[in-house]
Amino acid sequence: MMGSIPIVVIPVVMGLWVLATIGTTVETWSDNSPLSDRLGLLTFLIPNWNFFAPHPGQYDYHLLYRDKLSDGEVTAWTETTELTDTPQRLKWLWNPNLYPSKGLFDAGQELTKRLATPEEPIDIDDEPEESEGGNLQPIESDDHLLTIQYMMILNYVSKMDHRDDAEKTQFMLMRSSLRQDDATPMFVSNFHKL
Amino acid sequence: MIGIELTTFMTVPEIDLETAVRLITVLTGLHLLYSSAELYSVRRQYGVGGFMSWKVVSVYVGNIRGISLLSPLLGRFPTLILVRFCLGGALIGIGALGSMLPLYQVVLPVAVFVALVLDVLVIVRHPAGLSGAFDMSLVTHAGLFVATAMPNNRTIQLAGILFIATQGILGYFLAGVAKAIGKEWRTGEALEMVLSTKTWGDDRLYELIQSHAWLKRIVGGKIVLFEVLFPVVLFVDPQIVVAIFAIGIIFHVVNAVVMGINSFVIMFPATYPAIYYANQLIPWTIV
Repeated sequence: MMGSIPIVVIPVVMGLWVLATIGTTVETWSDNSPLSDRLGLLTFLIPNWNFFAPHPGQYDYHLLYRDKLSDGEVTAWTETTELTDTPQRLKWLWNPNLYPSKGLFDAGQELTKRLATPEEPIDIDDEPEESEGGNLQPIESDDHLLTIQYMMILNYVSKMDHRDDAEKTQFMLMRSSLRQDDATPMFVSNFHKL
Repeated sequence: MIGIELTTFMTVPEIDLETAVRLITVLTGLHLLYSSAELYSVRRQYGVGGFMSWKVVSVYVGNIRGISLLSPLLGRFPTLILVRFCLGGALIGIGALGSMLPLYQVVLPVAVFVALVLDVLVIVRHPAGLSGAFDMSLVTHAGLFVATAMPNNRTIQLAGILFIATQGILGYFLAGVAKAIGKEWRTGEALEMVLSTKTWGDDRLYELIQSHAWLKRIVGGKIVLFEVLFPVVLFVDPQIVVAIFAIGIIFHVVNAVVMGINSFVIMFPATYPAIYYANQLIPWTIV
């Protein structure tokens, strides 16, 4: 009797795993994710079989940072390319920088999505509107501040080279593609103490 | 006469469950080996000032029961990756030697179980940045463990192998359906969008499809068609199955050359032996 339990339980578990895979993949095609929310930590185990679909990745993300100095002056933006430099030759064979590069892409997508509200949805494929006077303003909402994506980027830029008199740092995500002439700012953080 | 010779030449062998298991083991071992080498080469990103610093990631996953116990291990991620690299080599050896290896029936499930645990840890350690090949590795090791843990129970073995086959087929089919419902893929724009990036694209190919708009519609359409129709692999003659697998491998190699997604080249075909075995279980074919 006990010996027959695995014969029933294991195929059932495998079947449920397949159903969860279908369910969580399909729900990413819409804005709601009730199944993923219910699965909680189990989502670590559930694959998502959307590759560049329904909407393909169409931009490269760029990470820039600047510092506020002790006298109040703000430095010019510096781009850090360590995460985004992917080799063009032999990338079919050896492409380790795709991990941090895709990591920044995933983080950028998530942070941009979080800026959307039910009243003002943001289509991440749309061009962002320029702020008044063309100046970059940090976003007003603070929902994103404790997200893992925000903290990962902030931690990373905080450990970059800074001037000795730098007191605070701020990062910006820009995106570009060959279809655009210029890179576009997508996300500007608050200033944070170094 | 020529027809007979051609038929003989084209005959593809049946594979038994044991052979399927060994082939999958070798292929997942290869994936562990080179993906670990790649991850190890960017180990700076897992250190204190790195993009994937454990100091940050642990705030979000370190409190999860079970994972908190593994926190010292996850904090030394490059060491974990070295273990994963060695395990990849071990799996290749185990799969290649098969029952010639002493205690094969014990060593194999133990090694596969460790690989499965390492897959989970790698996924937990990466809130962003991993490709679908790591998901495929996880479900393949899960199925492989089930298929090897109880070697005398055919029902359980079948459940494991069919699980791998199903996930392998879904990997193509669901991605194909997702593309088919996306406007960008239907119009072919998606191809142009992807190729216009530095991360996944290629500037020469981007210029090529810009100057030949019909190309993006045809190639985009063929990709969607191949992925959506992939499940027919279960219901066709084994010779056609091999042809479909060949197209699949070419598809992944082209993706690796153009887009740099090299981890799919081995990890998706790693499910092919299970799919091939599942095809043999179906007593009828449509072609």
